[in-house]
Amino acid sequence: MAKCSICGKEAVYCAKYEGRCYCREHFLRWFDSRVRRTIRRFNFFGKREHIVVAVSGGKDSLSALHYLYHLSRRVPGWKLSALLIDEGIEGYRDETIKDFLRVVNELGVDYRIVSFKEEIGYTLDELVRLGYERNLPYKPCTYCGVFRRYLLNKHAREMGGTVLVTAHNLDDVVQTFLLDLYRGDTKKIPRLGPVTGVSSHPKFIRRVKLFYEIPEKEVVVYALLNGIYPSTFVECPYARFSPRWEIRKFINRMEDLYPGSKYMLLKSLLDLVEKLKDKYKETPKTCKICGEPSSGEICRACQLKMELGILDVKL
Amino acid sequence: MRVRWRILGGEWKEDEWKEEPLEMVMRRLNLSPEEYIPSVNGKVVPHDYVPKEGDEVTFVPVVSGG
Repeated sequence: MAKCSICGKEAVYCAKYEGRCYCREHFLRWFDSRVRRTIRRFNFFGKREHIVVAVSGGKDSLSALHYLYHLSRRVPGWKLSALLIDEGIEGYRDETIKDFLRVVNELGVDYRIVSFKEEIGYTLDELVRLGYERNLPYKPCTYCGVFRRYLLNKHAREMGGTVLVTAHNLDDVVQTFLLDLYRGDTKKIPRLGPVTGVSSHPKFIRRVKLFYEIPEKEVVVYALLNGIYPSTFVECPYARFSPRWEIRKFINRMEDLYPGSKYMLLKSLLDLVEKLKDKYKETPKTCKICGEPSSGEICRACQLKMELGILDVKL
Repeated sequence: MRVRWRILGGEWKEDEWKEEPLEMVMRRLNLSPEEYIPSVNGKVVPHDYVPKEGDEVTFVPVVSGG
């Protein structure tokens, strides 16, 4: 079996893209050093922050919470909280909430749970049915993504957060990059940087992607080694309806054949973000209906509500 | 060599495996090494681990989707 490239002990993981293997101890050190490098490189946090971690109860967000909990103990000016959005996906989210509660209670982190049902009036399952009845062209992930981002920002702000951390990893980022390219949606590329919300809006909480430079499978190894991998494996029932599913398969095949492909895609993405950020610079506006930050006159959440017939307003 | 194995979240199976690295086994089972992390008897192992008689192998999906 492969040996650790540093100490010669039995390895737990080999990174083909750099030709090195790591034992448990050195994997965790290597993981930590790379996340800290991302934090420094992109100026994620200042000396005084109330960090709100968006947690779903899945392995990525539990790892982000676990990682930042340990890091924040070394930084006196940081406060850490967790925020979970319960979309209302039967047989899925209820399971991940159990893992969320187990971890926040073990770590002693303050948290808030917000549900679509209470805030939007409908669960995601109900919204998907409504959209289907109205022949709307959207996939479930559209409703989920739009309303989840809307609620995360709103509630992170209400909790007093100064920065919202999402557990997006390298795989998530390069998948979205390719999805935007396939859709011809190059305007969205500048939003794929490691920090979102640099243009200031008083109601917008800056968002950072903690695992921006970490492959998803290394987040899984981190979760397994720290005993925070969710106790039951459940897959979102809507995941396979998303074109992301096919893009993910394609990128993973390329990585398998040509190790380092994901990092090359990330490099291209960062170059493009830099080149396109001024061209597609957005001036944040305020939604005329709900008063939340928006890229247009009406935010995407209110637009979707109107299309679904669950928001009756005259403009 | 008899090995008990499963994909996390699925049923345990018992099969006869050749003595070969897990990566080869995974390719025969059509499991991409990019999409599954192998764990043997509850411990994470690299893909070149060669299972032994009586091992319990779990392939942990990298993707949770959501």
